[in-house]
Amino acid sequence: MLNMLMHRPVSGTNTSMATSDRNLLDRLKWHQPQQGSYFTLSNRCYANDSYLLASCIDQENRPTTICSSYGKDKEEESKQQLNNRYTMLGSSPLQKESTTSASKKRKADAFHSGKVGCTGDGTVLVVKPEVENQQSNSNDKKKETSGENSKENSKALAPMQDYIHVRARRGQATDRHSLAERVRREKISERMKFLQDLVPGCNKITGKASMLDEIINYVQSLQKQVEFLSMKLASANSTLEYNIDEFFSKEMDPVSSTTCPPAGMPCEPVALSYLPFNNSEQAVARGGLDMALDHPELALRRTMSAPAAVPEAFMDSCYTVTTVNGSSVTWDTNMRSCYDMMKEPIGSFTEKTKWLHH
Amino acid sequence: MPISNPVAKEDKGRKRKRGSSSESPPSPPRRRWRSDAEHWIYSSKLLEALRRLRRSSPAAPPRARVVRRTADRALAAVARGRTRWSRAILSVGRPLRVKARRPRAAVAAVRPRKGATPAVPGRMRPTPTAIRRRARFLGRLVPGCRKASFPTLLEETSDYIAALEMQVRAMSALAEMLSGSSLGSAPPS
Repeated sequence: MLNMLMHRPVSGTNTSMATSDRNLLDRLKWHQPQQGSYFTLSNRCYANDSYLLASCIDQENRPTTICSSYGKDKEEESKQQLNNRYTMLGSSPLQKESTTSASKKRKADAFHSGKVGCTGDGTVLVVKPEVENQQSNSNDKKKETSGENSKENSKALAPMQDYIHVRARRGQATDRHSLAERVRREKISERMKFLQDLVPGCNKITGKASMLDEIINYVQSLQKQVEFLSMKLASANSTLEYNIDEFFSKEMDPVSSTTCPPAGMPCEPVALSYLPFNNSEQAVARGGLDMALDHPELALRRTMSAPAAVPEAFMDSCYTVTTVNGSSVTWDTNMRSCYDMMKEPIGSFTEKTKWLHH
Repeated sequence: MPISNPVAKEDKGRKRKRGSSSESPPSPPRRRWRSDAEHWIYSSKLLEALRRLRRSSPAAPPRARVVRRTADRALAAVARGRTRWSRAILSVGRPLRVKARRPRAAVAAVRPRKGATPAVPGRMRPTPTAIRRRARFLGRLVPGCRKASFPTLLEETSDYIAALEMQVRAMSALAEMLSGSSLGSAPPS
């Protein structure tokens, strides 16, 4: 159907056209000398054919006649639109999208039945709500482009077309590139806002460059802190050397020097027999952490290592404490509770080992 | 180096053991990295790694660099590899270690000297190149984000900062405990 229309520049007597189209064409007959090949296309037909659109755009020689909906300079916008449309036309089949949005198109039909669009100088009245609905951006672009296409194609038919849908706000560029740019900018600003919350002292700073400066400084300082702490940990590790006993006694020393060391030796034979459990509980003891969940797995994973002269009481109590408290205990309180446990008299040791047996 | 391998294996093993929870990347990283559970998970992993380190090389005490690397790997493992920086940290191979260090050191010295004030006094916003320069620099700071786009970079940075904060908290608590100093050190907020 479209091909036929193409080859018959004079108003087409194509039977497949809708009545509204025919009416339109009749009305537009007097525009013939001005329009050239434009008015042979029905509003829906040429919206569906990118080739036709391209040809129409090629022949476009009066950009001023293209409707502008935002009060911008019509010429400029139309030229811009033309350029954009032309590059865009070969690409996506947006026409289906445009035709399926029935609600939008009805407006065009209503306008058909009304007055004819073009005046002598070609400026056409445009009614354009600023933001119609809250559809997605891609949707916006498609509708907008179909609107632009139809606008460019026929100055006479222009107003009826889908000039409705541009989601861009008043005074803003409506072409695809600027929309994409806007989306990108919004994404970036959203993330910058988030970073602003994260980095301390960034509330007063505005501007991307200074924000980035602050962020860089902060990341560098955090990394330096990690370096320093790792150095500290390495040195702490090195002082404790090979022996885990030493390490643990060092831990215990500041806390309870009276009760634990004498219990160190008697613990050993018992400790040896519970080696698999020992290792896991050492981890609990050392870290003061809630290892309850990992406990069985750790026990399985561990290989036999050097026997630990770790008082069983400490380990067991740590274990019970952590299982009771679960994850609701904060880091510090966990550690504190473990250190408290360390102060327990070792008298309870035998009881707890019995528990461990079962 | 034999030291790092058990650590690596352990980290990966831990990572596999942990199930994957559904979390969208744009979800606030701060909330995630601030939770006690994460803190605990990281601390335990770190502890494991450090103990293995010590055990695997009884002769020599681990150097700070090695400790740092294990801490970073533990952190990346806790991140479950959902972010670029965590994947980059975990995927760094041993042979590249030496090479990677030099360019990083050189880069650290370079700093976008363009001050906070724009180049031209009358200009309201700094030139796009200034921002781009800073973005490049930030991309080098955050592991694995050299060629990432700007929005991606910002996302990764926010997650990385939150994770680093948690790492600092955990490591300082651990260092405090190991050195046997007084308890009650409040974590830096």
